[in-house]
Amino acid sequence: MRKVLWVLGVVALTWAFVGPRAHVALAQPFQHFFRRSPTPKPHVPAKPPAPSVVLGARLYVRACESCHGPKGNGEGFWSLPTGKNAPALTGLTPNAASWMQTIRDGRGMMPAWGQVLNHTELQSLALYLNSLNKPLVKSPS
Amino acid sequence: MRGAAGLSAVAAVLGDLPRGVFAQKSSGITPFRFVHLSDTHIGYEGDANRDVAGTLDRSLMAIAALNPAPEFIVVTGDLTQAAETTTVRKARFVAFRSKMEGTGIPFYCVPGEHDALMDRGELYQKAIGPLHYRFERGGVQFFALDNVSRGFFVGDEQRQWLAQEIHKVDPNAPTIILAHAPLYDLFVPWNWYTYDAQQVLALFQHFRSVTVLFGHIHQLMSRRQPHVIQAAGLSTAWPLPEPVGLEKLEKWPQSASDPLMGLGLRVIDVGASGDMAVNTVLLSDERREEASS
Ligand code: HEC
Repeated sequence: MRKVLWVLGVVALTWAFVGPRAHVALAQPFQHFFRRSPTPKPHVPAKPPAPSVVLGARLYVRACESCHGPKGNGEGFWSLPTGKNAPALTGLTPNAASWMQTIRDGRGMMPAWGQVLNHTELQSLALYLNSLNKPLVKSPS
Repeated sequence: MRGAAGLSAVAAVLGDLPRGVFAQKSSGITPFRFVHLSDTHIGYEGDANRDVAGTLDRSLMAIAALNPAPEFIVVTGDLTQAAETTTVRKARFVAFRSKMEGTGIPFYCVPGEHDALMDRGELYQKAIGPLHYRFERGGVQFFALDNVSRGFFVGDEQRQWLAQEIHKVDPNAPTIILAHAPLYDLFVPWNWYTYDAQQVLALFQHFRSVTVLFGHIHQLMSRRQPHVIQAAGLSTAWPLPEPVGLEKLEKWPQSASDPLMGLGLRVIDVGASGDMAVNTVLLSDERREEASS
């Protein structure tokens, strides 16, 4: 019994001195003993994020505004290398599937955003384009 | 036996220390000099620079006069001015290439949006070389990245390639990334950014020192983070304004009294410990020296 306690003592002391400095695999299960401040728990979303026009608007500012302009009318802050402007995204024929394809695969100098944006993000951008192209209600005829 | 149990616990603990806690030997770096050239825009015709070939020639003369001579030159994009037809673009690439080859100094390029956005870098690859690649000089690792040919990002495919290449190199060796656009949000409305820069730099998280050399913004700006330093080079074609507000990016007509204002290049000396000393050569200074000698 005393032998066991002695060995445990040596091991515990070693950890107590070296563990906090070393952040080591061996001490991993006991790391919470050494931690000064509590680590925030990761936030786990209940379901995968759904596409939304809000997300679309946010993405638009970071990815599209430079070329297509804050109003989507083609008056951007940056000219294309040829000196021309990107086209307006207002007055488009409503077709979310074809918009998403253009955004994902690009065309001419339009970037191939599928390299960095996921499906939800592409859907959100299509929703945002929709909002620039109102009304999307079916015509009564 | 008891002692051994205690010892093995200590060994396991120390064996897993994070890199860099104990002194480490610096990997064999042979000191060398190289030049950072950028945004030469060969083929441009307009008021911002009435002789882009001439200002590149001046820059190459300044490089030829360097003592000690540089071992190589890196050019961070917009080698040529974009044009509507492939024939014109091709001629511009050829002109750029022959000027660079005329120096007799090896050079490494990355594409700018003027070189590669219109055809996803197809012509660039034929005329200049691969859009992204890796090389090593004097113990320093170089990663040449393409953050323009499909848009202002590196993108999934290239990031996968990068992740594989990163495994092959020593994270303690000094590392230089060459790219056209900055790997941070310098000013998004003017496309002075790389959309997935954070994901790209995260791949280098365990590296001891990373330096990003970029172009695109035609002026000296830099950013320092704990393990990453990013520094722009100068253009040999025209200077650009710094971001002031939400206005369209415009260049201004070349000054008649000071036509070389804001144009130049940078000379980088890598020391034995991997340290880098950067000197800026301004073409306007060179001209004053010419006049006084
Ligand atoms: C680098 C400049 C640039 C950026 C950034 C950019 N675009 Fe474009 N976009 C273009 C150009 C140029 C075209 C015209 C392509 C063509 O047909 O040659 C275009 C075309 C389009 C079209 C097709 C329009 C039509 O008439 O069919 C859509 C939709 C579009 N862009 C959406 C977007 C969205 C959404 C974003 C942001 C995720 C974006 N663009 C970012 C340059 C850009």
